[in-house]
Amino acid sequence: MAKGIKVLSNKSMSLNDQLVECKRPEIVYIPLVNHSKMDCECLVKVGDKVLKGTVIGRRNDNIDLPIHASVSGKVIGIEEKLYCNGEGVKCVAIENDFREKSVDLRGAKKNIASYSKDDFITILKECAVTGMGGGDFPTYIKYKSELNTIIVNAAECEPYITADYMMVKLHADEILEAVDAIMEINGIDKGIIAIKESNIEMRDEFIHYLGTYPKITITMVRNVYPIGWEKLLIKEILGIEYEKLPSDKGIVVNNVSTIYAIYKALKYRRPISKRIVTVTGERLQEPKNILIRLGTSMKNVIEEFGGYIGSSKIRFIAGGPMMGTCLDTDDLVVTKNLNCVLVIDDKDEADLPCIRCGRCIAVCPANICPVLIKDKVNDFESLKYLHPEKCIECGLCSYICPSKIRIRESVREAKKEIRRH
Amino acid sequence: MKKFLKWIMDENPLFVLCLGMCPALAVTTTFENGYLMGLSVLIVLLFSNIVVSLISKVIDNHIRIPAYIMIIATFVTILEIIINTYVEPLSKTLGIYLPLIVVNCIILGRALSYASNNKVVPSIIDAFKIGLGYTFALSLIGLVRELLGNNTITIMDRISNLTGYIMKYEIFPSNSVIPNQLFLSPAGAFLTMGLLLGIINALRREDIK
Amino acid sequence: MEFGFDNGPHLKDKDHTSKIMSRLLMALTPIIIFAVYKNGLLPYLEGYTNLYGMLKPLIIILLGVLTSITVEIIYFRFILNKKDNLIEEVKRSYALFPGLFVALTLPINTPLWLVVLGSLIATLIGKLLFGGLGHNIFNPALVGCLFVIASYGALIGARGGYLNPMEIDTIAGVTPLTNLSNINYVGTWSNIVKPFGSLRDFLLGFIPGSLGETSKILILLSFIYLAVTKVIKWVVPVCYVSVVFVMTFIIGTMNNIDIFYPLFHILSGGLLFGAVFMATDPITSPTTRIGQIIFGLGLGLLTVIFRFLSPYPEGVLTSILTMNMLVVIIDKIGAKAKFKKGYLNISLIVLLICIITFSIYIGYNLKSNTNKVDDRFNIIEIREENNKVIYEVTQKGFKGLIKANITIANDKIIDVDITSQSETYWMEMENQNYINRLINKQDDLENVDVVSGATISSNALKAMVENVLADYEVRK
Repeated sequence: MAKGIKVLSNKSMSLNDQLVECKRPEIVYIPLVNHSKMDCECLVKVGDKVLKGTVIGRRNDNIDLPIHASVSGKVIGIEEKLYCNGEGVKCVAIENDFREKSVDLRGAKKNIASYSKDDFITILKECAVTGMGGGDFPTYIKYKSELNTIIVNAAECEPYITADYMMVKLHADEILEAVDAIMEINGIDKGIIAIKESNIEMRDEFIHYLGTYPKITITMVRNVYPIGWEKLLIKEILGIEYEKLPSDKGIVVNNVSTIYAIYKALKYRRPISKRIVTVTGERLQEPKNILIRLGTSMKNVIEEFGGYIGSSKIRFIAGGPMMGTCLDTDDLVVTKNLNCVLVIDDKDEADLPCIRCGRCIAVCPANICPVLIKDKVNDFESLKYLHPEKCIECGLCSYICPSKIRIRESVREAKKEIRRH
Repeated sequence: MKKFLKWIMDENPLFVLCLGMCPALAVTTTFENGYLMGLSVLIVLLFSNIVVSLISKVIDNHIRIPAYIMIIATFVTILEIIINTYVEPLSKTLGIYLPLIVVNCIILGRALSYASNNKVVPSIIDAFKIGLGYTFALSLIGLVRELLGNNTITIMDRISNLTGYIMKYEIFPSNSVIPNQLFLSPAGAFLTMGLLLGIINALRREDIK
Repeated sequence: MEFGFDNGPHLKDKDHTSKIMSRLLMALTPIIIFAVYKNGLLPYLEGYTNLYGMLKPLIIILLGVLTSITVEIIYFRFILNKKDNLIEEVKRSYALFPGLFVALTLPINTPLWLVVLGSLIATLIGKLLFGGLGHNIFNPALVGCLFVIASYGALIGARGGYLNPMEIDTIAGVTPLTNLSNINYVGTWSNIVKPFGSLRDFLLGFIPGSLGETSKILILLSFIYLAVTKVIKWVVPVCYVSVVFVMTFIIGTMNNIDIFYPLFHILSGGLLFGAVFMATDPITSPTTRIGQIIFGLGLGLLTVIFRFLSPYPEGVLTSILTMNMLVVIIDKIGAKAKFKKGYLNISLIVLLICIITFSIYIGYNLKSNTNKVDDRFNIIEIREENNKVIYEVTQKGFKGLIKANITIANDKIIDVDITSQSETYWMEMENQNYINRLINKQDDLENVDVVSGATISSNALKAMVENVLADYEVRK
C-alpha cells in the first residue's frame, strides 16, 4: 500500500483564537437526507409548530434514523436547496421564532459511563449521531459488533480545514470523558487518539486532561494525506489490515467531532443543532472557523463575514480541496457533514496526453491502478480485475499527475460502469 | 477511369476485405510476379464462380464446402499444368503459392457468399471485379517493393519464352541511389502492405465523405 | 461574483510534464557534448580529419532533431489539418526526442541522408501513425534505427560503421562486441579488452560505439540524477543491468574467465544507454511497479540471448523492441498481482528459471565450442618430407582467407610461409615481425600480444598456428 503524500496544509489561514458564531438565521432549511438516502420521509406539514429537537423527518429503510429540527418555530414549506454533494434536495423550511425552546427530554444519566450497551445504541439512534468528518455514516451501526479498540481520528489530514482542531481546543475534556464512557459501555480496553505529528498544540490540549483517563493514549501519526482514511490510519497505528470493515477486527474509528456529538447525546440526550465549519480560502475577506446553526444558508454567513474579495472567477467548494464538491452558487445549506467551505481562485488547467509515468499507481492508497482503469473505462471484463470499486476518491491520482489529467473522474465513471452490471 | 478504380477498390479483397494476404506478401518481390499471380487468381475465380453458380442449387447444404473446394481444386490443377508446360520459369518463381490458390480465402469466400446465391452473369462480373482488384493490389505492392528494394521494374521476364520479349528496366542508376534491401524481405512486405492499406483506406474514407 | 467549476481536486502538485522533459534533455546534454568532443574535436586536434569531420557529430544531431520537428509540423498541418495553435500542438508533442535519440543511436558513419530517413521513419511510423504522444507502443527512435540498420547495414559498415576517423586508423575496424563475436565469445583479457585499452577507457568512453552510448560514466551520473528527480522509472535499468551482469557472470565462470567478463559486457555496446534512456521511455514501459520488474528481467534475458545466440553482435535494440510489444500483457499481470500475489510469484519464478537455464546453456555451449576445432580453419594438405611435416592450411582473416605453409620439424614449428592473403593491414604485422614472434613463442601463444591496428588479422594468424599445433598433437 502506498504511504501517502505530503501536501501543502494552508491551515494557518483559518486559525484564529476565538470561535465566532454567526447571526441566528431567520429561516433554516433541514434537508431530508441521510448518508446515501436522498429522500427521507417528511413527518410534518406546513404550518406545524416545532421545537428544537423535534423529529421532522425519518429515514425508514433498513437504517432507522430521525431528522431533527435545529430551531424552534413554524414549518413554512418544503423547498429545494443545494446540498453539499452538488445536488438539489428537498428541505423542510422552518421560520425561526428565536425562542430557542427545546423538546423536554428526561432520562439522561449523570454518569454517562453507566449506560448499558443497548441503551447506548438506542441513544445514538435517537439523537441521529452521524459521522461529522464528512462521511455522514450512522454511528450506531459501528457499535453493534464486539469491539476491543477505539481510535479517535483527530488527524484532519485535508488542507485548509481546522474545524476539528477548534473543537479540541474548546472541548477537549468533554471529548475525553465521552471516549472513556464509550470504552466502559462497550467493554473496550484500548483507546487511542490519533493526532498529526505537526499538531503539537492539539496534543497539549489533550494532555492537560489526560491524567484522569489512564486507558486512553495519544499516538502521533505522519503528516501526510490521506492519513485520516480509516484503513491507512489503522495500518499506521496498529499495523492491522482488514478486508471490509474495521469492526471485523474489533476496531472502531470515529471523528473527534462525532465524539463530541456522542457526548451531547449521552449527557443531555440532545441532538446537536450547531457545528463548527471552517470557512476559508484566499478569496474570502475573513477566513475563520464559524459556529453555524444547522440549516443555515451559507450565502448569509459569507455576507455577514465580509463576502468575497477580487473580481475574477472563484471556485466555491463544499468540503476540502481534495475531496470537496465544487458548487455553482453559494446558496448551500449547512448540514452535519459539512466541515469546510472553501473559496479559491478558478484556474484553468489544460491537460496534456498521458505519458504513462505510473505516478498515480505509485501514490494510490487503495492500491489500484488509475491509469489502467482510465484506459478501460467502458470495458467491464477488464474492470473486473482492476477493482475500481476500491477507490476512496481521495484525489491523489489527479493531484500527482504531471500531465494534469483528471484521472479521478475516469475512475468514478468506471465505478458507475461496475455498478451497472 | 476513376469509376473503374472505384469499382475495383470498393470491395478490394486485399485492402478492404483483408483476404488472401499470404500470397500477397510472399510472391510480390517483383511487379511482374504480382500481376501474374493476380491474373492466375482471376482465372480460377472466374471459372469456379461460373461452375458454382450453375451447380449450387443441386449441392446439399452439408457438403457445400468440400464440393466447392473440389471444383476450385480442379481449375487450379488445370492452371498449374498449363503454366508448368508453357511458362516453366513462372511456376518456379511462384513456387508453392500456385497450388495454394486452392485454399485462398478469396475464391472460397466469393463462392460461398456470392456465386452460390446469384446467377451466372452477375457471378462472372463479380469474379472480374474481385480478380481485377486483387491483381491491382498485388501489382501495386510488387511495384513498390521492387522499385525500392531493387531499383528495377520488371514487366515481362518470366513469361519471356511465351511473348519473346524481356522488359526489365533499371530506374535509378545503382551507384547513386542505393537499393533498400529491407523491402525485398518479408519484413518489408508487411511494412509496405500495412502502409498501403492505411493510405488507401484513408483516401477511401475521404471519398465516401 | 462569477462561479467557476471543476471536478477534480483543487490542489495540484507543482510538477509538470514539460519539466520532466526538460530535465531529461538536461541529463542528455553532457552526453551530447562528450560525443561531439570525442568523435569530432579529438580527431580534428590529432589531425585525423578536417573541419567538416569535426563538426559532423553536431551536424548529425541537429539534422536528426530538425527532421523530426519538421515532420511533425508537416503532419499536424497537412494531414491532421490543425491550422490554429500549430506551434502549441507541436510543442505539446515533444517532437525533438525521437530525432535526438535516433541521432545518438545510429552509427557515426551513417550518411546524412540516412540520418534524415531514420528520423523521418522514427517520427512518422514510430510515433505519429500510432496516434501521437502517449499512444505509441514501440520506442520511436528504435523503430527508425532498426529500419536504417536492417535496410542499409552493409552500406554503413562499408563506410566505417561505428568508428570515427581516429579509431579507424588506430584500432582497425571493429567495435568491442563485434570483436568478441569474432573470437567466439570467449577469450582472455588480451583479446577481449586489451585491443581497446583498459576497462577505464571503456568507462570513460574512448572506445568505438555510436554517438550516445560510449561514455558510461556520464550515463551513470545521468541515471542517478534522473532517478532522484523521478524522471525515469529507475527499477527498469537496475533489473536490466543486474540480470545481464548475473548471466554473463555465470557464462564467464563456466568458461574460466575472470570477473572482468561481466564488467566488459555491461560497459560495452549500447547496454547502459539503452537501459537508462530507451528502455525507460515512460510511454512504452509498464506503469505498475511489478510490471517494471518483469520488464527489466525480460530485457536482460533477451539481451544476453541475442548477444550470444544470434548472428548480430548487439542485442539491446531488438530486445527493447520485443519487450515493448509485451508491455500490455505485463501491465495486466502487474495489475492482477496487486490483489493476487500468485501472479507475481509465478512470473518471477518463470523468469528466474529462464535466466538460469539460458546462462547455463550458453555457457556450456561456448565451452564445448572452444574444444572443437576452429571452423574458420581448414587443412588443405599435409605433406611429409625429410623428417618435416608441412601443413598447407587456410584461416579466415579480416578480409578473406589467409593461406600458409607451416613447416614442423622436431615437434616445433620452424617456418610459417604465407602464400596468399588479402588483409587490409598486413603492413603492420610485417613491420612488427609478428610471425617471428609467434614462432619464437609458440609454447606460450596465450601471451603474445596482438598487433594493434590489425587485431583480427593477428588473431587469425595466432589461431592458425594454434590449430596446426593442436592437429599435430593429435596426429602424433
